[in-house]
Amino acid sequence: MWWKVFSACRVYLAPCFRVKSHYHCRSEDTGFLGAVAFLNALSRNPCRFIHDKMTGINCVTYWQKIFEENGISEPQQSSEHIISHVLGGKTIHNLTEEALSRSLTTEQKQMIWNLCSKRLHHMPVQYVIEEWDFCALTLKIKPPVFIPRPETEELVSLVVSELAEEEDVLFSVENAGWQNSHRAARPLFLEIGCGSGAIVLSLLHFFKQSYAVAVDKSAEAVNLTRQNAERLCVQHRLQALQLNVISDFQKLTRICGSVDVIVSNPPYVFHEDMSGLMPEILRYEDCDALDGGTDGLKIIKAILQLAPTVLKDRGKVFLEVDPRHPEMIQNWLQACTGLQLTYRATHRDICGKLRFCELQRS
Amino acid sequence: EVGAAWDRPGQSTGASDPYAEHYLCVEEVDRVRLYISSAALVRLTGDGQPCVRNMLFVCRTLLITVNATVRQTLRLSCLVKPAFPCPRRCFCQIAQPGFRWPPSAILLAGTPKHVRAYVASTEVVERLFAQSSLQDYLRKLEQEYEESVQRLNSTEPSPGEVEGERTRLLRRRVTELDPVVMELQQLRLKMQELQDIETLLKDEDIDLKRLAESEESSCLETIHTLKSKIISLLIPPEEADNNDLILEVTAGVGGQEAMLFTAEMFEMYQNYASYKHWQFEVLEYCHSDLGGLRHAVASVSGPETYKHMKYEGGVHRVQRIPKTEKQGRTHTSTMTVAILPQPTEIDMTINSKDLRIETKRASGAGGQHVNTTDSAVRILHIPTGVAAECQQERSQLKNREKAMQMLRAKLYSMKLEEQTNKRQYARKIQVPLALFSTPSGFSPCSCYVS
Repeated sequence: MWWKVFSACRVYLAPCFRVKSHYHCRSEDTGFLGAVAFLNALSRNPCRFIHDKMTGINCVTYWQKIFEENGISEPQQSSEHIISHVLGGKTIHNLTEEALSRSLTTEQKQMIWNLCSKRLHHMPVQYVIEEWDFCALTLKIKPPVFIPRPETEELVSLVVSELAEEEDVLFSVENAGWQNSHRAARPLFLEIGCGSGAIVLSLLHFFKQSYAVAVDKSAEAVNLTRQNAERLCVQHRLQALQLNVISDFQKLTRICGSVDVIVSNPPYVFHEDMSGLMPEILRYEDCDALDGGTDGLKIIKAILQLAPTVLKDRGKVFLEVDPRHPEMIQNWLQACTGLQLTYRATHRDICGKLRFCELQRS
Repeated sequence: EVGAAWDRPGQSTGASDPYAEHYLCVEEVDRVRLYISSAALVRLTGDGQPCVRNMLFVCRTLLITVNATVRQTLRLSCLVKPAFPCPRRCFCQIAQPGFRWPPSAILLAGTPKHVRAYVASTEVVERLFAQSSLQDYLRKLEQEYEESVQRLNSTEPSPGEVEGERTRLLRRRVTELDPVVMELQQLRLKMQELQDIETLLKDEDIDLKRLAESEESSCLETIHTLKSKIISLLIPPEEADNNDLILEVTAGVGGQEAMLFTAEMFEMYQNYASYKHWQFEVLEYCHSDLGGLRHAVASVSGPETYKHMKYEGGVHRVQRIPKTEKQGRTHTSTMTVAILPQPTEIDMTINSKDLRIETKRASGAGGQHVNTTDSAVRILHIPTGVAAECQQERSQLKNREKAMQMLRAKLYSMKLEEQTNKRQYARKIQVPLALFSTPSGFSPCSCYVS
């Protein structure tokens, strides 16, 4: 009898040490709160969790409590997303009643434990489950590549609607030659800063006959874009290159030729705001994908300087920017003479913020 | 059975049917039959514009018309119990093991499956067609058709908007009347043929006589089918029949048991949709903690979905011993089903300025500064105060599209309800109260007002 208790204690102690070290890393843990957290950690014995009988729903509430106690943001959504991913559904609403009330197998519980432990380290859910949805696609996401944001989905629908309008305009104009109408049906895209390839792959998915070039500074991003393109079977229409838009300016102009549309979600966070970001973003996402310099316009200016050389006549540039940027960009364009670019419009996102800039080569 | 034993339902049941009417089955939908009494039909057509908009078939044995005024004047009568009371129960029965189809309905050779089965007994059809009122009505329809066609062909394209409206209405009327007029013309040809055959019958040659007899029987059959088809075409379709729909289920009284029942019903509708080869997309699914379903919304799309599902709306009741019951007592629990037709682009336009879209990313800088997984979207239509939300998907764009779909369906159903209420009210205030208490329901009355 006593040896059973002893062996249980030993097993009990091992994870206790692991979790304890994790807790000492956190800066907020002080005094009483720290002790409470530590005791909570003690009660979370992985072996007991794995061997206890648990259903999907019980698991969600269990982990939700743990996330809440440890100050993880969005405790309920994180727990739901992780557990429904393990059970094979995209969201908890996609799983049937029956699937959620079934007891979990040991492998499933082990997997849930591993993933939720990662989440406890403030890893974003998208990195934990290594996939996320964007428009109509499901993309593979890996750290440190930038996670696509919901505002970028609206950028894609904006590009699609603007191109559709243009097509109408071109068809109605009598002088529209065959080349013009041909171009509207299959535009050539250039994306700068593709990340996981969200924007460019959605556009290729929508325009089934068009081609695209995607460029990014980091090698991981380019690899991930290629992997996602293969998953979506559009790899033959996409060329992904590792180039820096600032330093490899000449090479880029040579390779791209002339494109119809430049689309980009460039790093636009002001440098002073970088330290105020959430721990999920700071610790795991690539800072180069966020930092836009002092005024947030470093990459944007580079893109706009590149645009006239790479765009066809009347080609367009679509950018996602910070709400303070549209005015700054307009002022900079007025100051910058000789740049063959006109500012066409600013569009708002569904939260009402000035989010998207549309420019055209004149 | 289609085409058999429809004449006197009283005989089949054994009970004496006080009304002794002939009933015509005008529609068979998944083995459920839609009946209309011949007298009612004659009266409708006799007065010009048919005003029965809906004939509700109902479980078991009753025939009820939805239209308020007509309900007062037509009697409820007992019919032969149909083989399957309603598609829902029908499907549950089919799905169980050990099920065997009853002797199947014999549709006329050549009729495609989706066309209503319109075979009726010859007696009934002949009686109907003998009525002068029906003949007058058909003649009027033909005249109208010819006039409309002439007018359409003669009008020149003019830029005025009013003209365009009129031509559109004319065109719509022409497409409505087209099938009826076609059938009428075919009927006339067949009648002509029949007359020729009859002259042949008087011939003295035996072989010719035999030929003529066989041809006569086939000709009579075709005439009979054409006549029944015309009758069934006269019944106006519901305007929203072909629309896709939004199905909403909510647990009612009964707690845990009601939620379990709701989950079972939702699954049943899902299986039914796959059986009918429709698309079933779940827009919202709210579990309850103890198991079961509290509230769910789904979008069903496919041919003639609304037509089949529109009678599923309402409160459904179950009486059984629940799983959670220890003592074995029977409990009653309920759940509600709401069927909302989805409008097409033309039927309903919503101004985007009237909408307020709420998301969790609204506060703060948004964009690259924030990383959230909560992509729930709630859309509020400001003038009416109707709201729809969705958190079914991981992508915010898809959630927004689904919420818009639900909002459109809600607004459309409100609009339809308003229209039907207006219509019913307009009728009610015109019909004098004395007619409501007429004992012999089928006396021709002049209370029909368009």
